[in-house]
Amino acid sequence: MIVNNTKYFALFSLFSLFLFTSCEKSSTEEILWWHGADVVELDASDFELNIADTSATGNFVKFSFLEGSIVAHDKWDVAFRGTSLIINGGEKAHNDQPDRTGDAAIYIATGSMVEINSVDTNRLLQDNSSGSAILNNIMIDDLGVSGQGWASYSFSTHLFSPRAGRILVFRTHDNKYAKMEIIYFYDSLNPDTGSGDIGGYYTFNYVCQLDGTTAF
Amino acid sequence: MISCMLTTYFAYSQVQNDSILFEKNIQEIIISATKTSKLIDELPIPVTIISEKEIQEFSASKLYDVITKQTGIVSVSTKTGTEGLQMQGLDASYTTILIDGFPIIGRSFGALDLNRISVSDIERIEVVKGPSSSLYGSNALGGVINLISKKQIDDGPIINTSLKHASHNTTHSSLIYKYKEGSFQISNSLNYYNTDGYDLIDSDVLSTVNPYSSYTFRSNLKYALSDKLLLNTNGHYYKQEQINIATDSGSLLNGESNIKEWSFGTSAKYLMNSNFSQQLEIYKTNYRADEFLNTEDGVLYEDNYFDHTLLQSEMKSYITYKGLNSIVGFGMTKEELSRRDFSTNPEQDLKFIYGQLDATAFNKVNIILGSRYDDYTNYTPVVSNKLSLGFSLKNKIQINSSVGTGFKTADFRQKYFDFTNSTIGYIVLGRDVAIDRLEDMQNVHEVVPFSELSSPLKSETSLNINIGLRCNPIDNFSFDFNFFNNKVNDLIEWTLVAKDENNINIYSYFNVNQVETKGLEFNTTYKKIDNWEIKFGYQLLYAYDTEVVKEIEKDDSDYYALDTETLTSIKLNKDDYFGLFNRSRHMGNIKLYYHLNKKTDLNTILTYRSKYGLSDSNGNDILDAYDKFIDGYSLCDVGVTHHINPLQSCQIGIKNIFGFTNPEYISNITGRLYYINFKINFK
Repeated sequence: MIVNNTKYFALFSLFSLFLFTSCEKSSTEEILWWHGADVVELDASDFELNIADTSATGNFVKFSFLEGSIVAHDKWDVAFRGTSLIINGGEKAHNDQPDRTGDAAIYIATGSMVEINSVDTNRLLQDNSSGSAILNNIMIDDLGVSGQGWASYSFSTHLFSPRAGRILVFRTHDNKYAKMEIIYFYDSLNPDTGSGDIGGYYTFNYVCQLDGTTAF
Repeated sequence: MISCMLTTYFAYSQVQNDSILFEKNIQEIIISATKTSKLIDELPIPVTIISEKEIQEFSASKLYDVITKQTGIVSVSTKTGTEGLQMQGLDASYTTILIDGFPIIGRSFGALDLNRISVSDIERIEVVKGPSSSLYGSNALGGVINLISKKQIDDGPIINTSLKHASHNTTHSSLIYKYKEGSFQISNSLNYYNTDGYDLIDSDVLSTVNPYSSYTFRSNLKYALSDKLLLNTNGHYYKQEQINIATDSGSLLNGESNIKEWSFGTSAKYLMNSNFSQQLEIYKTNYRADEFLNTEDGVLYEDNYFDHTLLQSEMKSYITYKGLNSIVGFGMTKEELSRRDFSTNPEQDLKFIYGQLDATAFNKVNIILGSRYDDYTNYTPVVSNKLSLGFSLKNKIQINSSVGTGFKTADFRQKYFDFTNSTIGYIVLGRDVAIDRLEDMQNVHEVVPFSELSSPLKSETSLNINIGLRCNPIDNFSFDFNFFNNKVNDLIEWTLVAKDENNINIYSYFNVNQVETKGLEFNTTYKKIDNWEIKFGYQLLYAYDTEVVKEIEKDDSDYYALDTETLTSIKLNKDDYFGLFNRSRHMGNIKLYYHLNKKTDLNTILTYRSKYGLSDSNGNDILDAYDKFIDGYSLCDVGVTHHINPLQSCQIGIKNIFGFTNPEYISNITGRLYYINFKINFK
């Protein structure tokens, strides 16, 4: 399920326009250089985590940057299930994951969406049989103490919070580049695990560079 | 000297007992700050005395009721959910609480439960702010709170009874029996407290505080064998029984949570001559908590126990020579703990020696110099020093300053914990057991090189500075202020060290960062003849992690926050960092006493605490301007005391008259509370 958030629509239209114009200066040939920036809400809450062996059940929700929507086909770029985030590149770690058919890769950069304006291709990593490209199996699972992941976990509130200033930089399944900032992990602005908020409702903001260059 | 001290005590309590509302020109004595009797006006260290009057005014039953009304002291939840007092912005684990000079144990994650300590037989509470490790050792780097039990002046028996009933079906009854005959006196007190607890959130099946009842018995015996030898014995027993209810994925769990605590201390004081006396003390105390939960079918779901014993002996010598007062003490303590989730039943032995010099120069300058050496088995010895200077500018103004170092050793949990949380999936290992446990595990992925775990934890150490001024320009008006700065180094925190083969995080304890708390405390009192008295107190506080401050100032700082307006991350600057969690920038109180007529007194107290943050809500681990804050709040209590006759009185009152609650974030503030309290004394 994707809902384009109308509240932020105007704002991000402006943002896209700005990027669009700035790019037009360097080239006037292509019209669709950018997919623009969108705020996307994505429901990947269909998961259950078995703490004992960290196995999880549920379905991965596949997303395509180019199409800007959830997809059912093989040309996805990134997929979500609960706290897990996998990419369409490399090898799958578990049988319950979708097959990797593309060449996607990922790393986490520190900065704001505006500051991260190019891709450091040396840092890109792919999923492998031992787990996700980032922090083995469950990207979020560094619980915020080591500060390496894109989210942190609070022992006092038992909530996961995306870490501000952590930008996920992607190579897409077809060798384009994208950057994404995950803004919320719950469908409530004031999540409360006590009242049943389980998370997995991603709200993120992304920009996709469609010409295959590494500059955003 | 003993008799002199006692006389002073007696004189003091005499005045206390006789005054209904106001005491005039009382020379208040404080003993906790220097381990010797010293007039509060001459003491170059920030102290607060909570008088019996103040304890009685609002029918305080527990230490919590009275201590949280003091400037700059607040009871807050620690990171692990237990509650304890915060003083000068420092955590509960840095304050030692004593009853008649003997320490209370049974800390849960560093914090002592202030509702465990009954105050009905307490004459006054001395609060010493600032470093006190140079006299009291570990756990006193932030200060000391000493509860002093009531003394008796006249021969014969005295019986004090009180019966209080309050909202939530709370009953508190107390019976105190005192008897004095010449050089012999005995005091026994029995307290019974029972409450239905309360529930701030109706929508769930759990209560915020489950019903509980508690008994406290305290006994004190003093006997002067001769003019030169005084024996003193203290004992106490405490028992608390509470219903324990929890849920596990929808099903209800039932059980009990019980605490038993006892202590026994005895001291002999020998006065050789007017210049030399000695005191020998032996003290033993045990705290035991047991709790369990059963499923609805009566099958044991979980049980837990905690058993802590402290044995302490100390020898003190007081030497007075030509206006120079000195004290030298030495002793040893032995601590034992057994609890669930520990791989061993650890013991810790300590030998200590301390000394203090108290001199007055030119009739105007008071110098107190103290030093203490603590030698824990298997740990590097720690030396704590303190220098205090007081200048009497004129008769009415005194400038005080003190500089001290303090320390807190790693506690048993930080050394021997072996805890697996199966709900969330993580393991916490104490520093002393971590390596062995990690080596036994298969396929552990090192996050931190294990070699870093091989050295023992260092003690947390501190440097504290207090500079203040006390002024009493006219008889009925006084004020004081105090600037404080506390730096605590090598704070012990848990850090991710490894991941096991199932990706479970494993944490252990490290000396990681440095925090600093600094601010200003201001107190003033104004009395209008015999009619009314007003007191005002305020504390300004800045508390932060110095590493974060250093990091956030850098151009390439990693600290960002989500701007919820634009939904983009922005880099934080230094001003965006609010500081440590659970610290309010501003705290204050106004107390008003009104003496309506010979028989009736009115009291009002208003306390205020400004906004604070409980936890990070935007994933950068620090509290910044973009985080969610708990709004500031005020609490107001009013009470009326009616003296039916000199031996009987009745109090009625309302606590939290505005009915403030914050069910989601503040569990220790219940709504409006009504109480009625009868006191009958027999002589």
